Amino acid sequence: VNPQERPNDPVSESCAEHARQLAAELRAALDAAATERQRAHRAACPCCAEAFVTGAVATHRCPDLPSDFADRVLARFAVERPADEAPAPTDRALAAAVAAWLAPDPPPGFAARVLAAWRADRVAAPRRRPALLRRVAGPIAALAAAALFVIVRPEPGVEPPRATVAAGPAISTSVALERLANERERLMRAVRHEMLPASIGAFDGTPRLRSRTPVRTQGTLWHASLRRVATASEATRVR
Amino acid sequence: MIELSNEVVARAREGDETAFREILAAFERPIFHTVFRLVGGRFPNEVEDIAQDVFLKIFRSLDRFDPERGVRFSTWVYTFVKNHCFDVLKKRRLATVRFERSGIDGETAFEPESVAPSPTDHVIGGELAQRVAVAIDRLPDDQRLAFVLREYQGLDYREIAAIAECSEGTVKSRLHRAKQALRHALRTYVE
Repeated sequence: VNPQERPNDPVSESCAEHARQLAAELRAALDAAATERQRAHRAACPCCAEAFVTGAVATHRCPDLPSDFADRVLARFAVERPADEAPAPTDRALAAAVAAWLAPDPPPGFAARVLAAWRADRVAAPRRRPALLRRVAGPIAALAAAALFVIVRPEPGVEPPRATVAAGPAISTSVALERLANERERLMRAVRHEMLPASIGAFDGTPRLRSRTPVRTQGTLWHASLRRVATASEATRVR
Repeated sequence: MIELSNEVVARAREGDETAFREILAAFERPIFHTVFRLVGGRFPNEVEDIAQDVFLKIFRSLDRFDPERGVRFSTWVYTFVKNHCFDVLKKRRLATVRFERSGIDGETAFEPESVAPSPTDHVIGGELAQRVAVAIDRLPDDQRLAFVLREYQGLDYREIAAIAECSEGTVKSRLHRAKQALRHALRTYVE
């Protein structure tokens, strides 16, 4: 109905009024639908729980969470982590594993001594450790970092050393062990070449300091600890 | 405030899939939306992938969560969200710089992805929705993080401070500046 075409026609006037009414009803219905949808959206979406700034934030766009999101995450996780994978080893078992790697035929109590040696080194300033890591040659840094991550894993109730954060990116225990295994030969060559002191006495199982660097600062104390771990390992091998 | 019992986390650490599902059920929506608020304005098509990556990182690191240290699991989780989102933004920014310096026409070769409004947006808010999203997206990263965690996720100042690794005072200041910036950007709607 177009009232402009027949302005004097009473029927047309009526139709025009009817059209206006219909349009108003349609608009009201649309508004109601929008409000209803808005209300439903606000109820379902945690983003819209609080109004802010204008009080009209409920009109923002919210993304739709895919219904199978959880399944997709778990599927990806399952690829990385086979179901039959053994649970993460305990700290003590890890320490023993690393100690065994450092010293293939470790004397009794060697793992505990490695742990104790590391804990003693926690007096070094954590902020200086990354710089020290960089200063030490690459393979040795890798050895140190890998060993640190595993060795320093705290026992329950023991505050974890800040060095685990400061020394580099945290890696999972399985990755750390895998890296240790992969790097073994290369690192041991580096250890033999660069860190073997001129003379090594009989190794009684106690990691000892045979450093050519005088222990003067906190930094060198930590540096010396690298030598001590490597020396202990090599000493066992020599013996 | 979402909180999960330490028992669920412990079960997940042991590899119990039900526990993983419980963690996902509790956090998938808030994490998804937080990721959307932090990076979705620039990479709307990658929100789901990024949220998935966050969960994988959380699951891989569960053995590092220590409830004895007094950190809430939700705080720990949001720290992963923040770190990963900021990493993504940082990498993309570096990529943009490299791209522009490579001699390729930077203006036309790299355009941030736009947030195209859906038909639903037009019905429920349309322009304002778009403006709010853009205004939030333009906030500096640290302000956007504080704003999203506070206003969308309802976290308290202490928890936000722990996640953002700053003091509560800094969080309040960032929130204040964020709201000022948003009010300014949305002043035509506020006034």
